[in-house]
This record gives sequence, C-alpha cells and structure tokens, in this order.
Amino acid sequence: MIAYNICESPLTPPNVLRLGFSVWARNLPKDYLSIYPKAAEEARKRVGSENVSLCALVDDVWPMITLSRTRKEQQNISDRFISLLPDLGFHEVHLVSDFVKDVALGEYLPYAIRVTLSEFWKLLPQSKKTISDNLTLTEILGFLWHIHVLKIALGEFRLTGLLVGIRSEFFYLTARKLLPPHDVYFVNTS
Amino acid sequence: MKRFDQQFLARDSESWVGMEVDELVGFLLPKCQEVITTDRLRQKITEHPTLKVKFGIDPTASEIHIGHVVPIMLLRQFAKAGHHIDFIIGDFTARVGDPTARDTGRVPLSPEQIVKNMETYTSQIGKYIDLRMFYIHYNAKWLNPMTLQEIFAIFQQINLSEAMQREDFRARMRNEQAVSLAEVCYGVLMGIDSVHLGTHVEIGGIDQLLNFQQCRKIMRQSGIDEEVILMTPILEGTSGDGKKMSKSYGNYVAVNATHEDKFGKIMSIPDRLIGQYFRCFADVHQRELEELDAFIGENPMEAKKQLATLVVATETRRIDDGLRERESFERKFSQKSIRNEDCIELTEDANTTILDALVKSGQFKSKSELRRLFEQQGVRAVNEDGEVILTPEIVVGQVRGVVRVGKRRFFQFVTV
Repeated sequence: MIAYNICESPLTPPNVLRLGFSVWARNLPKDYLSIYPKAAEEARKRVGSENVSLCALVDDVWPMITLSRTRKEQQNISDRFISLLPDLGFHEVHLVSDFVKDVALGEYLPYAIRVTLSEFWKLLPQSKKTISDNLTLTEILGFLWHIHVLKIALGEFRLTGLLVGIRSEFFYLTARKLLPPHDVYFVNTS
Repeated sequence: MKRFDQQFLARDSESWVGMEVDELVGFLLPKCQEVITTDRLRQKITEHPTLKVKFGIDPTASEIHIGHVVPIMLLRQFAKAGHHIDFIIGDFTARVGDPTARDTGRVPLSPEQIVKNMETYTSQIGKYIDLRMFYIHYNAKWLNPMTLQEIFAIFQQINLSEAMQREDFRARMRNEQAVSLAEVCYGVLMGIDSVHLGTHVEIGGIDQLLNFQQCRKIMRQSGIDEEVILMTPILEGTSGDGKKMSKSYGNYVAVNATHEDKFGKIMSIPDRLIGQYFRCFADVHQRELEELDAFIGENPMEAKKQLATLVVATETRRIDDGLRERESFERKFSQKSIRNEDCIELTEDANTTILDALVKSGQFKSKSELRRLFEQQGVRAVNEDGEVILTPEIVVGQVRGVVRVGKRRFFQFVTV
C-alpha cells in the first residue's frame, strides 16, 4: 500500500508518529479516502508504534476561491468532510480556514524564488500539460498556497510526517526541499 | 567652435512647465530606444496636464554606474515639465530575493538591508535629480497584504504558457540556467503597481520590455487605460566591444567616481558612442540631432571633450566644474606635457612587441602584471586623436603617440 517512504526527520520522537494529509475539498469525500487509515496502520507497523494518530487537513480556502463558491456553499461541503472523516479512521480533522489566518501574498510568494520553472512544470499532471494553452498563473499561485498551508500545519499540529498519494509525488518531493524536516509516506492509491 | 556642452547644460535650470506637446516629445524621443506608442504619448500629455509617471527600482545593489542613470535623465525631463513622478522602490521584490541569483544562494534582503541600500542609491542618483520632486513609494505596502482572493483574480488573467514562452526565459533554459517562479510572476507584480497608482507613463530600460508588456496587459484586463512605455537604451560600456556597461565587465563609469576618473573614462569611449552618450545625458531636441551628429563626425575629439565636460558638469550643475576637468585633462594628456612631466623614454627595436618592451623597462613587477593590465584594457596609446587600446602583440613601430599604462605611467618609445 505504501509505495515508498522517506523517513529522515531528526525531530521524530521514537514512539510517536503523526500523519497528516491534505484534502482539496472540491468534491465530497469518496470511499478511496479509507485507504489512508489503512496505510497509517501499515506505517504504525513500520515504526513499531501503536501511538500514531492520523490527522486530516481539509483545505476549504483554495477551492472556495477557484470554484467561486460562496462561504455557505463551502461550509456545507466542509461540514460533511468533518463528519465523515472520523468514521473512516481519522483521529483529527482540521479546516485550513481555522488554522491559516494569514492569507497575505507576502507570506507565501517568497517560496517562488526557490523553485525553478522546470521543476514546476514537472509538478503539473500530464492532463494539464496537454491543455497548457488554457493554464494560467493561478497554477503557480495554487502551488505556493499549498506549500504555505503545509508549512503552517507541520508546526501547528506538530506533524512529523505526511501520508500522500503517489500521484502527487513531485509536489511533495519539492515541498520537502522548502519546508522544515518531515517524513513522507507515498501511498499507492490506484 | 560650437559649444554643445554649454548649450545643453544651460537647459538644466529651465522650467518646461507648460511646454507645447510636440516640443516636449521632441526632447523625450532622442533618449528612447522604443516608445509604445508615440501617438499615445502625445495623446496622454494632451489629456493629462499632470501625467503620473512611474519609475521603479529594486534596491538590490549599492554602487551604481552612469548606465543606471540613463532612465533617470529621461525621468528628469518629465519632472522639469511639471509632471507627477512616482518613484517605486521594489522592497517587496527585493524581499523575495533577486531571482537571477538563485544559483549563488543569495539570501533575500532584510528590511534593514533594503533601507541601507536605498540610502546609498538615493545619495548617488541625488547627484542627477532632486528627489524632493518625486513621490516615493515602497510597493510592499500594497503587494504584501494582498489576499489570496485578490491575487487569484489577477493571476487568472495571465496565460501560463505565454509567461513561460518569453524568449529570454527560453534562452536561459536552453543554456541550463534556472528561471524561478518569482521571475515568471515579476511582470504581473509590476502591473499591480501600475494599477494601484493609476500610472499614465512608465519609464525603464529596453531590457524590461517583456515585463512592461505584461504590465500593460494587467492594466487592460483591470479595466484601466494602458500606460505608455518609454524605454531607454542599455548604455554600451566604455571599452567599445559592444558589451553593455557593467561592473562585471569593468567597462563602467561609477557615479561615485571622481571627476577626473569620469572625464578620463568618457574620453576613452570609441567615437561611434559619442552620439549615444550625448542623447542619454543631455537634453537634446530631435531637431538638433542632425547638427550634433555632423559636429561629432567632423570633430570627434572636441565632441568627446564636450561630452565629458557635460557629464561632469551635470552632476554639480556648474559648467565650470566640467571645464576645469577638461583643462586638467588637456594639460595632462597632451603629448607635450606628458613628455615633459611624466614620460619615461624607452629606446627599442621597432619589431619588439609592446609587451616585451614594457617588461624590459623594469617598471613592472612581472610580465603577468603587465598581461593583466592589457586584459583590463589599461594599456593605451594617447595621441591627437584620443586614446587607442593596445594589445600585447602590437609592435613598438606601430604605436603612435605616448603609451599610457594604468592611470599614471607614461612611456615614449624611440625606435632604432
């Protein structure tokens, strides 16, 4: 289930591993989300600890802007995530709008200096590259925003690792270069 | 003898407030390599008695050279005509860090460093313009607090492929040089500055063309009339090898250089650059260009001396300072006075190379020291036509005039 992992965080206490992942709440949660609690179980065995909690980060800010949702529409979708995720085996559920208070450009644009255009192009899925004439600079903005969210989450919830889909491999490999040390477990979601 | 230096400097103290549109445009255009567009420029001047003119810099460097002053001289003309000058200090961009320096690991500037760099910068350009005439803005004030929603609305107007297809980016990527995401966003941020200030005219170097185009697009898509762009040429360095003026090429005239150095370096430019330098540093009107170019063609040495006089005098606003430097230069560099006062006479075979002859003089520590001076273009023949850069292979018999090595060592060769 876990395709591979990078575990070299010097901050990981011996018996505690907290795993987080991001849900870009564009759509309602589907069954596939249950794969993460199962992957967390596998990770617990790997580190030989029962004391591992799984924390879900639900981004309700970016989708609201990109899909032009009203605050109420977004709230409805977010509420359904919050009620469903604990049943699937997540110990904590956090809405991004609750813990990312500063959404000013000056907070996340500085990451743009440390990522090259070539690196960024690799992050884009093939499906987007084929329609590249329709892509806008918001792709860059979204990337910077997600990095910003992860940085705050790592600190706020003392996350030492991320449990992520292998299809987002390039994004999380790039994120590791920009963020404080953390482990990454790449889950084979297909 | 026509005295262009005195004629142009006299304009320094003139007020151009209320000047006819065509007359003003006639002064502006000689300083521009490209204008987008001249018709719109005329129209804007006509429509707005007080134009909002924008000029931006990133406070990343400390010492500047006269190449950096070229757009400032254009800005000065707008100020003389009574227009409103918005001087943008790109502290937001500087805090992000200079994108092109990514490989060298330059750290983004701290607010303290920015303030320090700005003090150094303004003390230098203050020699050419009265900063009290400008409205100074730090763009972090409006860029920093922009919310995700606000910036999203602007970024979604710009096509990513279009931003990536910029020829300068493609060229750098072909050469395996990094282009950062910050650079891709740079033109958009400039556009936000223009939207925020309601800019009518923007001034900058021709190397900013692609950023300016993006800037205009942002304005257009924000429902604001696009700014007119006036782009100045990139000043060619003093060595005449076609390279732009740059500290790294060693072909520059520092703003903080002494008057003597400035005068001497201007005198070392090739004749073909005299016209370009005049256009950059003097208030020349279009109708005067033909006469000026004819004068340069007929009297290049005299024209160059007038240019050097003007560059020095522009700094102090006193023609006497320029003339004093000219007099000192002529005294020092006329062959007669060099021979009498400073020159070392060397007798050599006409076929000996200049490098070997100078080594034999015993005046230099080593051959490698001399080679370094040749590489730095510091070995020159001084004669009635000006200065000619010498290469080590030239033989003594080919040298005409006195040979100057470095700033102050002079040699006169007698061939046998």
